[in-house]
Amino acid sequence: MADVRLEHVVKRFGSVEAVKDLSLRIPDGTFTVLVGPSGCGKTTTLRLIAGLETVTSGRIFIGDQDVTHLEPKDRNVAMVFQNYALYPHLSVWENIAFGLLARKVPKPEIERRVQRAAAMLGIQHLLDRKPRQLSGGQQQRVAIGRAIVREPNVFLFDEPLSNLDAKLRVEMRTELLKLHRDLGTTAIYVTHDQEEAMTMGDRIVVMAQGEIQQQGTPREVYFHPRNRFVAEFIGSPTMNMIPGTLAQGVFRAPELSLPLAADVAREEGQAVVLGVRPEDVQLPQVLPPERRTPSIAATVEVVELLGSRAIVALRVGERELKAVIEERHLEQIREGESIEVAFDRTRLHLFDALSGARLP
Amino acid sequence: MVTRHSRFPLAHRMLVPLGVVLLAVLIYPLLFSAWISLHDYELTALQDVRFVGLRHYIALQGDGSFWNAMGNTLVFVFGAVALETLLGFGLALLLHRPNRYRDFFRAILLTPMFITPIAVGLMFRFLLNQQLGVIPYLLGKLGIQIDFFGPGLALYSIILIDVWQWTPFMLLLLLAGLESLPAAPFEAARVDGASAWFTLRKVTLPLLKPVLLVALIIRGLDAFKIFEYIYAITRGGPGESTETILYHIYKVGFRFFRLGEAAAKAYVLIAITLLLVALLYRAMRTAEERR
Repeated sequence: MADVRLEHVVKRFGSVEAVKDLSLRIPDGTFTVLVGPSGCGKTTTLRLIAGLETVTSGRIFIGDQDVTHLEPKDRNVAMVFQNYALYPHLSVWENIAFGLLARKVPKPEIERRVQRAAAMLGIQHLLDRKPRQLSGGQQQRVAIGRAIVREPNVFLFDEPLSNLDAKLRVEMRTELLKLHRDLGTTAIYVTHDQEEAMTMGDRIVVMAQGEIQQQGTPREVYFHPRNRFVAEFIGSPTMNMIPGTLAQGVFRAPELSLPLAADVAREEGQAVVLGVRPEDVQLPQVLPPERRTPSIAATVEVVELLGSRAIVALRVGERELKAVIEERHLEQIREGESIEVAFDRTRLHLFDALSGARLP
Repeated sequence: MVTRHSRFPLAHRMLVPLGVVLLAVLIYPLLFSAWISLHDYELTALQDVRFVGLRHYIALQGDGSFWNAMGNTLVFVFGAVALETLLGFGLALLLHRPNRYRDFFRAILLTPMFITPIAVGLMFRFLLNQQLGVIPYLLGKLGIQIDFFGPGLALYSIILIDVWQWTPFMLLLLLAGLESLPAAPFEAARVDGASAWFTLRKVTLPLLKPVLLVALIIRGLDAFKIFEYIYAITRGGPGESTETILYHIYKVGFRFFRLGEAAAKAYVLIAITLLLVALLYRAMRTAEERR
């Protein structure tokens, strides 16, 4: 077990800077998710920690050891790859035991560890099969088994669930988390799927363009996004963004104006963007009076029923807003009709229009 | 007119030129050679061609020269192809690694392949010649006396010449094979702590097996046709020690003019080659099925 630290890590591929001066501490035993759009540097960061790429500058520590210039095999990390990276010609048993065979671990010990990992993953009955005889989910378990038997200091996961179908993906998420709780090993998990990041991570690190945008618990990142990028990247449907100006504590946009709490008052006439999550756009009577903003007139364009909730596309002036409305309030909402909505004033986000930074 | 057209659809009529060409250059020679292999067909006695049945084939049993040539060919094929595979694979592994001069080395290493074999034969005939050759001269300076085309060594010298020319071919195929392998299993092996040797044995070779087998088949078949070096350098000598099967058939047919006998020998060669191909092909199929 060990924490992982990156200090001012830079990675360049030719003239492209994939990771820019990245400093990060991943506490011992946590399940940390690196999330971001493709090309944000999250996978490169993981590969730097694994040692599959070498840093251009900066240092990497695992526990107390400086591993910056160590080979992957000397870092005591185990990695699970997106496409599983199983050896097609070896049996499941040999695949799981590969790392132990390579390290010349005594045979009885290998057998013990393989059996234990197979039991944890429920694949004891598959040990004699070849990878091609397994389903995607089973192959992924084998890949995880190969990592577990190594008993590493750190688990590295590179989008391990993205090749699985939706249902299996959700199942495997739970299983991975259970496994993490049982083993307690530090885990670093890379995904582009913000929902996966939210549900799995103790801590989330949101990355874009080689830089960390925000790190924190899923709650922190969701409810207090540090900038416009994080606000729009995390959460589905995406947060509504309304550009406007602030003057005398009032937010003004062409389609609406809202008095804001006094403490968000900023310099006069500042260009800002108001962010409202779709679930915070509600029928006025649903929100407690002290939390709702004045009502806004809107036209209902499309209602997409998801089951217990619906995503409602509204038009306010020239702007489209998304709202997530509970199914039991839907009877008052018909496509093409005008309704009144209000925002939850305790959950409004303001960002500087130029820098995108959150205004407190 | 209409009925005639419908009886021979356009597609069939368009195949006719191909059929004619195949008939002229493939089927007719094959049938003709089969026919003469059953006759006492000699270029010097074309007015007296008699049917002899399977006599040419049966006579092969006691034909020491034929089996000697076959043995020489097998030694040559196995020796040359094995060396070329080993060297080619080793070079492919070296060139596969990122290296600043990679393209330069690739270009240099491939050049022997682009020289016509007869020229290679002539080149080495002079380079290795005991009186005139620069290589025996330099070795002599070091106190080493080797007669490259002497009775014991000639066949092995020919093998080395073939290795010089055709290792690049193996290199090319195996390098392409290596580059087509997925990167992930190798990265997994690196993280898992596998040594280079362990990775080579447990990952690289098994994954490369289908490519290796195809390379072996292509190179093996080609090596069977060894003719130019023998023709240019030793003409089968000393004695019959470098006489390979194709050179032997050539000699019987075009130097001794016994075309009937030569045709029978060529048919036996085809049968043996087909058998070898079938065996290798089966090995390849099972290798692919196991993937």
